[in-house]
Amino acid sequence: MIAILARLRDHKEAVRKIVKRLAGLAATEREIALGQLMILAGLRHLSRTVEQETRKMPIHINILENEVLGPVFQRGLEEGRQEGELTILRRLIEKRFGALPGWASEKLAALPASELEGLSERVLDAGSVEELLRS
Amino acid sequence: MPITASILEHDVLGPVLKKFLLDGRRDGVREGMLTILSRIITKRFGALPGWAIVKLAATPVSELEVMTERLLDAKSLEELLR
Repeated sequence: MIAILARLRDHKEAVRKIVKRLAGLAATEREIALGQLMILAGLRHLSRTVEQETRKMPIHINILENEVLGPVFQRGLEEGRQEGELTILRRLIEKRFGALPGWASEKLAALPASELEGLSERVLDAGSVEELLRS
Repeated sequence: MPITASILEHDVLGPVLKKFLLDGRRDGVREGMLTILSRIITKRFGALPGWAIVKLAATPVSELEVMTERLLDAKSLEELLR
């Protein structure tokens, strides 16, 4: 922090950078670091810049640490991950082998993310949809 | 019984939680796409250099899908990600 304040000529930009970094810290760490910044800023007559930038600081709440929201967000994340992997894989398979037959489409949609990831390793080498998806 | 399923239908909490579910899903879709794409790109062209990771991370979901179509034909990483 001291290094950034001392080095950069554009103070406003420097303060903005520091505040941006602080926004990512946990609440208690952030308070301590902000306090330090205010003291240092006072030394360099930057208090007002710090105050302006702090007001714009986005406070990130870590959703995953919340007891109720965490599991819900996590569930969405897992569903989304499977969906995203499926989207890309299906496109790749169709590009290689043409439109997917119904059984292949159903089989793919039922696979968990871990198995979709395994399939992605084999999609370039497989000779046919049957070979890729059998077992 | 999965408790989250019933909470999602709650009059007051439901809409809030559904928003979090959707936020999670949106992040997940992107993550899933990048997981598969980066695996296949690595298999084709070798380990991803820093610039490619930065570029991929900044590419919107819709473009990731389009990129998939070009993945098999691209001759190089530069051609794919330019």
